[in-house]
Amino acid sequence: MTICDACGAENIQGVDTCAECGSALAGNDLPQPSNSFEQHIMATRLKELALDPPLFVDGSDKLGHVVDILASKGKGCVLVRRGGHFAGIFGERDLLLKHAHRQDAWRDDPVEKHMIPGPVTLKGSATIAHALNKMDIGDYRHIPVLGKDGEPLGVLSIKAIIRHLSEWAGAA
Amino acid sequence: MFSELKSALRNQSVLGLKPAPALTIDSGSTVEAALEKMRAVRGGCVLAVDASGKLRGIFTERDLVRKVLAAAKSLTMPLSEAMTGTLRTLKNDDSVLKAMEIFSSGGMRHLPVVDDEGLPVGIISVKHLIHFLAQTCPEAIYCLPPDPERVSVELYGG
Repeated sequence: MTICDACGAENIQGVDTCAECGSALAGNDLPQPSNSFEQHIMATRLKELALDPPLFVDGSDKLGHVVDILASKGKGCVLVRRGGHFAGIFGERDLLLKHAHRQDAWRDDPVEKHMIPGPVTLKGSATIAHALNKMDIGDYRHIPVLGKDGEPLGVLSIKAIIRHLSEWAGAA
Repeated sequence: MFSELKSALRNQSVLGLKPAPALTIDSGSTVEAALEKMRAVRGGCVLAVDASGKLRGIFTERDLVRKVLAAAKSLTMPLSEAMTGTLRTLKNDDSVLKAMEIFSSGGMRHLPVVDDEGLPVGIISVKHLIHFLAQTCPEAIYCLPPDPERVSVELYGG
């Protein structure tokens, strides 16, 4: 059953409006935490975590240049801008699977030709639970985290999530 | 209590994470051969072993970027010059808590699982940990809407 926040009436789980007072019930059937771990991951916003600063490149930048950036910064992906706006993502997995075997043929390609356009992102207001959802179901290792203007605040990496939860669990 | 999480991590063994099969290659191979193996299974690493099958190193996509591509080295370079030789390992009966601590402090994404003889028997990645954590609270994670900010305000459908 879903309890209406406005009038307290019981409603069938999943209905959109309260049968008693007509208030919207959308969102009332979202999961509720049952222990402190769930409370932590469902309440902690991504913008509160230590995000990797975004490594921006322009879409016209060559892959050879992108490789230099990835190597020098020790990061797994770059965020691609086109026309000054966030447009895509390109990572070392793409190099491994699609380009490295081509010897040097790929180095002069513009990164926008090979990036993943419109990647999965989360807003800074999303929670760790949302990030775990994306990473587990979607198999993503890097998720750009967006600010209110829709531009990346940073990148949440799978390693950062593990480090955060390890520190949190170890604090007990 | 978050001690419940710690207990769950301590009580679950690495074996219970279902390690991926150990993708191995002779440590005398080239980077090109390692790359071919990794691409064939779409894996992020390959374990280099000696003639007796013992683990001698790991070659990852990070090594590929830093030691080969950024260094403008030929793919025919010896794998032994590009792999990471000194590495942490896990055993099947180690706890997930131990795995998590190693991943967290070491900054790696893959850990070989070896038997008592030092022979690789599997690979654990950070994705295994993420999946395990998600499985400890499936409703909290899997029952979320695809778009966190999209809330239905109208009736739709039948």
